[in-house]
Amino acid sequence: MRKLIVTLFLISGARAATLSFTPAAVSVLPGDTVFLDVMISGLGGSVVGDFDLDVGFNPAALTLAGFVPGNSLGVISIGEALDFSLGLTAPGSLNIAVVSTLPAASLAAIQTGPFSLATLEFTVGALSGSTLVQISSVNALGDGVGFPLPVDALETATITGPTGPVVVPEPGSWMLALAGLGAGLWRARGKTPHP
Amino acid sequence: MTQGPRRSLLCGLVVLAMLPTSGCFESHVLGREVVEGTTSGAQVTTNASINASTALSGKCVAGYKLGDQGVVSRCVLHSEGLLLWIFLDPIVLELPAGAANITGTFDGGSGNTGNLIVYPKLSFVPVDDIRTISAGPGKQLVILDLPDSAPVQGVNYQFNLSFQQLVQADPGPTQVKAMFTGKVKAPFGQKTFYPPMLPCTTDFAAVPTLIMPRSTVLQPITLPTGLAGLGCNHQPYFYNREGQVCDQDNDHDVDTADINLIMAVRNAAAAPGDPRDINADGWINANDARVCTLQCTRPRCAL
Repeated sequence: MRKLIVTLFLISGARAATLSFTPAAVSVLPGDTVFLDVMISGLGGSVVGDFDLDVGFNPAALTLAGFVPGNSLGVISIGEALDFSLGLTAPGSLNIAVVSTLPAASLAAIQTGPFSLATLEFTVGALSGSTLVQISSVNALGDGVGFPLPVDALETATITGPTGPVVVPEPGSWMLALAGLGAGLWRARGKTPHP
Repeated sequence: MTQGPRRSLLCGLVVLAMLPTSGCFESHVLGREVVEGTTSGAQVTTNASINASTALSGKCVAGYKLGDQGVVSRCVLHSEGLLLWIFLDPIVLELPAGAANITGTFDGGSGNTGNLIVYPKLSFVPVDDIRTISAGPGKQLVILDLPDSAPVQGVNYQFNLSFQQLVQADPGPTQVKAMFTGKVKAPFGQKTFYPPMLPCTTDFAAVPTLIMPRSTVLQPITLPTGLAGLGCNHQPYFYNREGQVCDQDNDHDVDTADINLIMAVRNAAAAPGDPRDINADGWINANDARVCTLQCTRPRCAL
């Protein structure tokens, strides 16, 4: 069972983080490689000391080629941060988790403005129309001392294939529209006064 | 203004005069195991009356009756602190590592019912300043305890425990090991310790095995013989160091190994007092790990 810490902050003036992707929209061709950064912003004066996120995507349209947690919580290779990412936990579900070992003051020096939590690499498959990449679960997001950081927005990335997002009404809709038009004409004809 | 201190002193004297006596008195232990497809489910039920006491540093005595065997276990608690300790009767189980959905209930009658506190998937259980109970290969440790609100003096309880595990093939009857322990709130720090009382060992390899009977109905579980000689004989336990809650493996430091133990069970609900729920918010997650990385003994939580 996952813990969803997403908290909608309704209190005026309270600062809450936004999780998003950069780029937020990208046009691709089958076989292309797409890089997406998982970004965090809107922290105000807070820093991020840990995070544990699940990223969801359509495995029929995208294949995860790799992911690299960022170094904004400390350089992982030298132990400034610990990488607990589980990777793919199910088709279309990627877990990324990092816990910093740096003090909050050091994190404040690294984390200036919006920053990347991780970089994802996808290979585009047979994509018609568009597909979304989204944060499906925020299992944990902690500040410099481990207190939960509220999240007020989870933004998606839209990956659009060569045909683009074309809205095609379903056959049933056409039939319904024609039936409605026919019924309207019939009624209008019936109300016409006969000479 | 002057009545408060006098009352406190009187309580202190009463506590000092008490001989800390504790223990479970079990009349029967029933159990069953059912294997359905790839799932093995086990259930254990038993009656027990529990005595509990609070004690300052000093002698402790626990009496047990398992089937027709009576056992008295004695220990000596050593501490330079004069803070109040609580001595209750949790049970530490060693179960297969894959056992999940571990739940327990208690029923003391008169509406005194509820869920047992369960701390599953533990690798280590702290005993005192110098000793730790470790899970064997392919095993997990589980602490079972009554919630603080449950009365323990003179109440006869019915306990029920169940767990499940996925099995690829029939693994044979599930083997369970159980250990009665005390519960000591250390005078220094916030850590809770579990000194073994029966059997008086920190090595689960030396604890007799209970075999779960394969049956659709509850069957008596055969208790090991010779338990009378397994109680503690004035076993000393020591509580002078500051117990750090982040020191999960009880090796007197906080390092990556401790962080790993928290993250190994992350994103799970935690019962009150779970040693891995560092911030006590009812969940074990990366925020608990973060609290502990700030308490690491060495830079970058080095081992």
